Amino acid sequence: MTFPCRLYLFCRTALRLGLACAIGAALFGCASTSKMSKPLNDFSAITSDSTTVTTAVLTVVQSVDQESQAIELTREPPKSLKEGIVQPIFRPNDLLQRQLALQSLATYAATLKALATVDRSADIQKSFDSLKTSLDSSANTIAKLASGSTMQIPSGVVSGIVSLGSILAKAYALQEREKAIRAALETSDGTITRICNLLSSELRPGGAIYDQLKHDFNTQEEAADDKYQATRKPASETEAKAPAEAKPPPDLTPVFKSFAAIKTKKDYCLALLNSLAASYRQIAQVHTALKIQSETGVASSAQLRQLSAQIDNAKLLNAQISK
Amino acid sequence: MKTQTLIDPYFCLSEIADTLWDLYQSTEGKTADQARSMYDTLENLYLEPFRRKQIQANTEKYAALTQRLQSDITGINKDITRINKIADNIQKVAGYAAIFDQIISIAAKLVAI
Repeated sequence: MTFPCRLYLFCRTALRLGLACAIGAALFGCASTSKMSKPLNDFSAITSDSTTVTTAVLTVVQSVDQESQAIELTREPPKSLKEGIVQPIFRPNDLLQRQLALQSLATYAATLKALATVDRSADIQKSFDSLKTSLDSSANTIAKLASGSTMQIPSGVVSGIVSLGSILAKAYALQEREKAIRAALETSDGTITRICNLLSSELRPGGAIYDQLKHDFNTQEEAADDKYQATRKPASETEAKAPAEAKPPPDLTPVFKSFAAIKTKKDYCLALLNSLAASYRQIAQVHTALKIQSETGVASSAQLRQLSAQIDNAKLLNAQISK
Repeated sequence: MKTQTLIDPYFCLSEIADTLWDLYQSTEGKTADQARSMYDTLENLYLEPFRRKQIQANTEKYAALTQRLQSDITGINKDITRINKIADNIQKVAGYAAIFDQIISIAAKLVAI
């Protein structure tokens, strides 16, 4: 086979490749968005919401605990005021580390979302278009210089090769992105599960934060009961001694109102903590489901929907507490 | 071989405290006062100090886990930079091709002269 004949066959193959690439390009254009983009976007939104609600509720827990400590100190006043008599539920570092962990969870989910939405296909295409123009121009210049040569580069060869390069580069970038998502979900799954389990173990009934908050509200209810007894007692004693000269019964409405407010806040706060504990258990499960989805393609949408509903409940309860 | 069940003392004491609180809520007079007094003693002497220690112990765990998660986040950010670099490198190649084309054009003009 002579050299011009070989060149002709090469050019024909390149043209066919160019055509295949053009079809491929159209297909790749549709698939440049990661299949993990939507679930990771939802996961990020849910994690951000849970971080906001939990951070707010930790502050409520701290303030309720401070009020209850004041009640306990009033019941049995110390001889003098020393720093040691105040034992807060959260020391500054206790609260800070929990808030940092929550913030890290939200940042992690947001970074994963950013990774899933990295799409430079348009930039790659633009660069290849520019490359094509330059190569076409160079090929023309060379063709003009070697006008007598039998080794002319047929038209369409450059564009075919460039289209192929463009497709390969875009496919490589997309493949690297999917690989990075898989690796990130795989690497962090253990840490996410441990953080979520730790949060859940503190916020569920029987957990340290839940039980402490319940006891703090119980202390406030006891104080309200004491106040009620004290308000009622003098009136009853006077009635017993001199029924004719008895003063009108004291107005107990503020005491009842205050007691009802404590009871309502207690119910909402404990329900919120329980709801958040369930949410964190589910966040860990959803993360594992996302990891499986990135490996096998099995959708995690059902778990995400369930988690989203759970977070909506928590937001609703938090809104009631903030009122 | 006999199987031994582990009993969690905190769980047992919490159950007793809950029962005492329920008794205080559902009774009046001396019984209620006694239930409340026992509940307060149990909570203030045993359960509350235990819970505070538990919270402080967990703080160390949170710190270690947060550090690990932060390093994972750094890894993901590096991946984002690496993927973006693919497009940047192609852009550089396109730039070099444009320079090459200009050189070829100048060379062609020089040859023509």
